Amino acid sequence: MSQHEVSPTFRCTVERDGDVATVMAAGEIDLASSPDLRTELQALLDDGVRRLVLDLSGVSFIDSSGLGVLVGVLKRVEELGDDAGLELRGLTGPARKVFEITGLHEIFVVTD
Amino acid sequence: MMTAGRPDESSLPPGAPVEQPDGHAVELRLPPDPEYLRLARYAAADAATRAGLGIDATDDLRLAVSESCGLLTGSDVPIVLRFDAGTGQVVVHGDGAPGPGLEGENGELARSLVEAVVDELDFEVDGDRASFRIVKS
Repeated sequence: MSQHEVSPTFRCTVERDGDVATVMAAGEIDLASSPDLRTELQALLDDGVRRLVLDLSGVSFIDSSGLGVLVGVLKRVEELGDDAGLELRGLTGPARKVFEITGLHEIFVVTD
Repeated sequence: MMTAGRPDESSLPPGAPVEQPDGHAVELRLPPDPEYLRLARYAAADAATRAGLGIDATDDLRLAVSESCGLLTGSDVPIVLRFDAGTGQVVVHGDGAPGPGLEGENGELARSLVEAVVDELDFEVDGDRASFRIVKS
């Protein structure tokens, strides 16, 4: 397990099992921290991860820039093939509302 | 300046918006850097609390202010925010310069998010100046 405090208000903890990675994000994903989230997720894909589980249960805020990062990562995962995937877990509160407003909760695989 | 207190509301019908006297408005001047969006959200939450907004409405205002200010980051002009908290309503004025995020898909997404969560949004770009006005109840 590795933990990265990528900004003062946002951190990621990564659990890796072969080509599966579970990323537990915590804090606020905004214009300041979303580039760090992109870097974190893209590094995992660059390193051979094919299935990403992003646990957002610790995320209290996400804005359009965070959504943009996740859409970009989803596109890249889809290019990897049918056995690759991105799952969003633990989407609650204000973060879930943002997904529902934009309709993105229907595009991503969202689980409890 | 952060101030507490409310104007006399006893003569108003329930739910009627109350404009805070000028001395009770909060003004905030931020560097046009994404690192300061968190501070804008704190101020939005404070204004929502003083206006008596519920948790969901407070979250909506935080999102709206953060997204709107985000569109003004990346320029050289400070972002000036003014929060007027009345009873059950917050009016936010923002002023700065258009940032690089204003154009493109993310800019459109940001504005559509704001429009979805507030009662009123006016966003204007006039040359090298950009401003917005948000009303949330």
